[in-house]
Amino acid sequence: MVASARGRTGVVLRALPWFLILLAIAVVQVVRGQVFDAVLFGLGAVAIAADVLGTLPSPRRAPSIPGSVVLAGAGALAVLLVLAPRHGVAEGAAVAAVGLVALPLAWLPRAAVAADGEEAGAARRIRVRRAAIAWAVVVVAMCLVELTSFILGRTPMGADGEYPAISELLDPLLDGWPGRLCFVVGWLALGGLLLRMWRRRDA
Amino acid sequence: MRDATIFVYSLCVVAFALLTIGGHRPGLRLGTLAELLDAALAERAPRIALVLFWWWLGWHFLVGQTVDPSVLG
Repeated sequence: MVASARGRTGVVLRALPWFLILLAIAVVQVVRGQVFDAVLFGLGAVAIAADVLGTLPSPRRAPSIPGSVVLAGAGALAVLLVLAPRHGVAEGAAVAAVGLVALPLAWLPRAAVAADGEEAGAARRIRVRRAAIAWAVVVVAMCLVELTSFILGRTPMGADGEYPAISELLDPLLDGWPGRLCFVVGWLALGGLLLRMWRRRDA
Repeated sequence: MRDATIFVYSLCVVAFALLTIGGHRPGLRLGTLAELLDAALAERAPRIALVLFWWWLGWHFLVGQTVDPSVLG
């Protein structure tokens, strides 16, 4: 009973930072006046809270999709996303379709990874913890610069684009096909890395 | 300040690249990005947050309003 309560507390504490991150992004989107984006991140935060509270069903295990199928789909999507007019209906439908597949897949439980031996597992945990701290430091630093630019860009000081947000810097590059090709390939590759279900194997 | 801001963004990108490369150098005893994601994505909350943010990046840059009107002037 005590162990179960501790386990539950651990789950809540591990989920809390992700809940707060999504909530913070939702607040920034409210400031931007982007209702859709604010609702999207707000719903993400609510979903995490509901999952931790156990009010949402826990579905079956995620399917394992063959790598060739994923690659073929990603290739077709990349061609469409590069060639279709930016901010157009086709682009919107394609990105929406990606979300309709990716987000439910992210909700499904992942297949277990083959377990390491005790010694190898401990060494791996230390390596991963060090990597997590290092990546978190850089990500937080980047977010702080972005947030500072976002705030100062809305003041008279930032009126001449003195404090550009990342979106402002990348936006012109994405109007041409070379920039859009780089972005689309990078975006799809990152999505593949996050969803990696076709590489998972049961323990 | 514009150049300084861009310089700091560039530093972050370089740091990401170095961390990615560093994960494959055994001497540094730093986990690879794949190991880090394996650990992080084992639970639903980080999986939902990261996949949602990733998807939004595509929406934001390809479909939605990428630059706010107040910034465009």
